[in-house]
Amino acid sequence: MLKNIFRKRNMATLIILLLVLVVISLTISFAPLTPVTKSSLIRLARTYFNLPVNDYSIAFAFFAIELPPFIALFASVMVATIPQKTILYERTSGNMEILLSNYGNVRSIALALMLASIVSSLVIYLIFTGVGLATIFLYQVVYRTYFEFPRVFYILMFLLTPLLILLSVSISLLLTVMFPVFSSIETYTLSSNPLVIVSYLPSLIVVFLITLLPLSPEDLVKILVLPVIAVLLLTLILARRCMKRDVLVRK
Amino acid sequence: MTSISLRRASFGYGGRIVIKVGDLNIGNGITCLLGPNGAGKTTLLRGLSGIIEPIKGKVLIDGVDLFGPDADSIRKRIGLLPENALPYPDMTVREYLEYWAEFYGVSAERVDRTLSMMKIEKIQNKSGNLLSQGQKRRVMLARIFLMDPAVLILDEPTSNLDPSISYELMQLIKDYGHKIPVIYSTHHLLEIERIFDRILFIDNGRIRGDFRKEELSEDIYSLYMKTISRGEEN
Repeated sequence: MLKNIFRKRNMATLIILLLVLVVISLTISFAPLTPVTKSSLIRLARTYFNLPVNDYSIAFAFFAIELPPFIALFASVMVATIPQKTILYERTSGNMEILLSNYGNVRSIALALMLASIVSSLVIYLIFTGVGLATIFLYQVVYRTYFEFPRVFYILMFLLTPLLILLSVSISLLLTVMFPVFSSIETYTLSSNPLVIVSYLPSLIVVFLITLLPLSPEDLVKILVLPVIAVLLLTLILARRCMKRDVLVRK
Repeated sequence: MTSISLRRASFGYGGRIVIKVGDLNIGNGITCLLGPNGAGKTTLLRGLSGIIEPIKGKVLIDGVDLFGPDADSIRKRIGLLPENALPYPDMTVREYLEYWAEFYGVSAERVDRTLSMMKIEKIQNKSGNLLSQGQKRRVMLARIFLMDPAVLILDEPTSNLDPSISYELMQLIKDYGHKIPVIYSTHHLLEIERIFDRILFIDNGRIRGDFRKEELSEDIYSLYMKTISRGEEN
């Protein structure tokens, strides 16, 4: 698995991701900000990051605080495509038939799909987080500054984001296993497949709620923990029961 | 000698029967499933290879029920080649075969031997998405020959292949037919005319004719023409 993760192509994707994050952080410094946002960012830069107030430090404060929702949003969309893409590819390449022929217990295929999807999702989360934190570290090195993150950053980054990613991949797994035919619906991009959209929609709504409404991330995490665990458990139980041989190979 | 048996078997999807077979025994040699498109060949093939569970009845290989508790070892010896099956695009040929070798529990040496047997050593470091149709089919067959197949089940194995590659594959399939049961699905009688040992004519979800090589007669051709023309009308 590690060998696959560290392939040349994946490393190139990582570098591109890092560049995108750097470009976003630089672009923000030229973006028009409302007076309320600007004053919040100035406070953030001055109080939490101990940075001198200028366009770059404001842009950085914006980037640092928006990083967790950014990761939650992109990773949720990305991980929602994993089960769908896997089933779709196995179905169209004929490898699903080979697997079903070689395995007597279809539940072991469901379990493998679940494990692979969840592990891949966590790896994607770690990569996004790693790249994001590396960007922040680079900033600290370049501007020779050091700061502590506000508590809210840790809650968003290390609790809320993985929860939303798990929610997205769990819903996607469940729907893909229950309705594999939907995974074959041809759309312009994988993320616009109806099954995938339904999977990442809850995470998307939560991200919008955090950015648009004055909700406390602590409360949001408390509210979300139980439903996410429930969906995950439901997926673990139902996915293995719902996977049907004839449904998996029917065109 | 391996045998595949169906006992009062019917296959289909979502509880709806697509093909009703009843009792059937298939032994060594090349058994061809011949019939028009939509006749039920692929569904029967899926049933014989344990992909789909029979709606009624049983599928036995050497007396072992494919959906019974002891089926694991026999299932790993079902050499299935689905129609238009492809190797994984981002794995090289060697990586793909090593992946399956691990699954079948065979040694890396066996991968080398299979690469040379299938004459694909030169493309072993090529990615799946860079292979030609013929090379992809060879790799998919190589996956089967990694193990010691108890039965070969091939769905339209020569479709979209150029004649020289088709001819080579047919020779290989013919060789295997001497040792194990080979089930070969096609809708072209001419394709299997020279290699078959038995033909099962399938039409409209039923086996309409069962001919051995020694019974090759005009009956086969007239039945073939009748079923094919019916298939085209549908």
